[in-house]
Amino acid sequence: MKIAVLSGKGGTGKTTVAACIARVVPECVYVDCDVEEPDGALFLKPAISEETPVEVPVPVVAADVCDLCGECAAACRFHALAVLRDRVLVFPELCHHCGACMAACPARAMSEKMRRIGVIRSDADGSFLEGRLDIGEPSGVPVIRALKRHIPETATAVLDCAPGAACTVSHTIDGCDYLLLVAEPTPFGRHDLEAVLTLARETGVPAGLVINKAGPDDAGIRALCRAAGVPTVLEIPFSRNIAEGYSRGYLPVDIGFHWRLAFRRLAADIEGWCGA
Amino acid sequence: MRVAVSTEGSDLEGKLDPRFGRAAGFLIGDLETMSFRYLDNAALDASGGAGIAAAQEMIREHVEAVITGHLGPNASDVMKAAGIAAYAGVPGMSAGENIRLYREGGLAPMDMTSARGGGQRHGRGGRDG
Repeated sequence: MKIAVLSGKGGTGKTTVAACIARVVPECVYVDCDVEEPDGALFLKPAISEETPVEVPVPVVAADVCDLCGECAAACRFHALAVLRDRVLVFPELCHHCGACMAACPARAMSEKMRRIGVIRSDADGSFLEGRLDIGEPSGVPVIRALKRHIPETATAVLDCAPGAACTVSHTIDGCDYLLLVAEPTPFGRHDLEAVLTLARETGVPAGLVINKAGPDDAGIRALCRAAGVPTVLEIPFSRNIAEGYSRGYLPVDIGFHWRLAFRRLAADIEGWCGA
Repeated sequence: MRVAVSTEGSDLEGKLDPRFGRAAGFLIGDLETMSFRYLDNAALDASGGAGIAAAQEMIREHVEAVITGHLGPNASDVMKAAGIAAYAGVPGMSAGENIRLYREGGLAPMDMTSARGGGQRHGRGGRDG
């Protein structure tokens, strides 16, 4: 069973919820897919035993064979190549590694070289996986693809997504069995939740709402989700205790036994809802 | 000398478009004959690399100097590597007036080195392939 935890607005509590589930469910892998800013390790404190670099292919032009015909630049949808009067310029950070330029070159002047863009970190017993994009790199998607390949096929895994509803998130949730949307009951939280709700509905995957920092006014997010077929499955009240624990690197399940029970129950319910 | 001006309109009366990669279009022509032709900017809607695509167009059109408002780092890389000069045009003035100013030596060359160093660069610029 693969559960994805996503939010829309940042800072709503995705990592809190994802890490809590991973902590209380036996044999569950926590996968940090927020590759631009992975922070699960702050709470789960894994002993990292392996780091695998993530590399992507970028084109290399053999200057002695290239006749500056321009076919490679014309084939590239991402404008990652510019053909000058005397040589070809490659823009590796625009390259999407599709290979179209290589296929288009009539002189067979192009080859590939690998370029590192990030790293996968894991612990020895396979309970923690983290993808980390190198600073300055524009796209985390190849890191997410590599990261997901490290998740054992039969494992129960919780995938902690990046905030928002863009490429990185949609690549993370692809293939998951259940989507947990974590939202805060504020107008800003509601606004960003709408984008993720649309994304969730487009996948057709069963989803549930977790209201974090809940109080008397939910800013209409319960009703919004209910109308979209997404029930509220857990509420975490706004709590100073939780906030203080968080600031010291402790999860709710670390500071309250009832939270261990609540998250265990949630995971069991999810298993039933997605028929996994 | 072949010159291009980034422009909002399709003739010399139209205003200078201060953008390069996302300019609406370009007026390209010869300073000696003063005959200019309008070209839509095909790179306008590109999700990325618009500056590269527009600079590539300048190379294809054998332009020797570009008059525009500002150049992004990718466009700067390509223009510098191709040996095309860039001049800082005056926004709000027409393309024709900018060309006249250029002929009189009244436009400053654009500093294409600073585009790379200071700004929010995500990548590392163009490399020889």
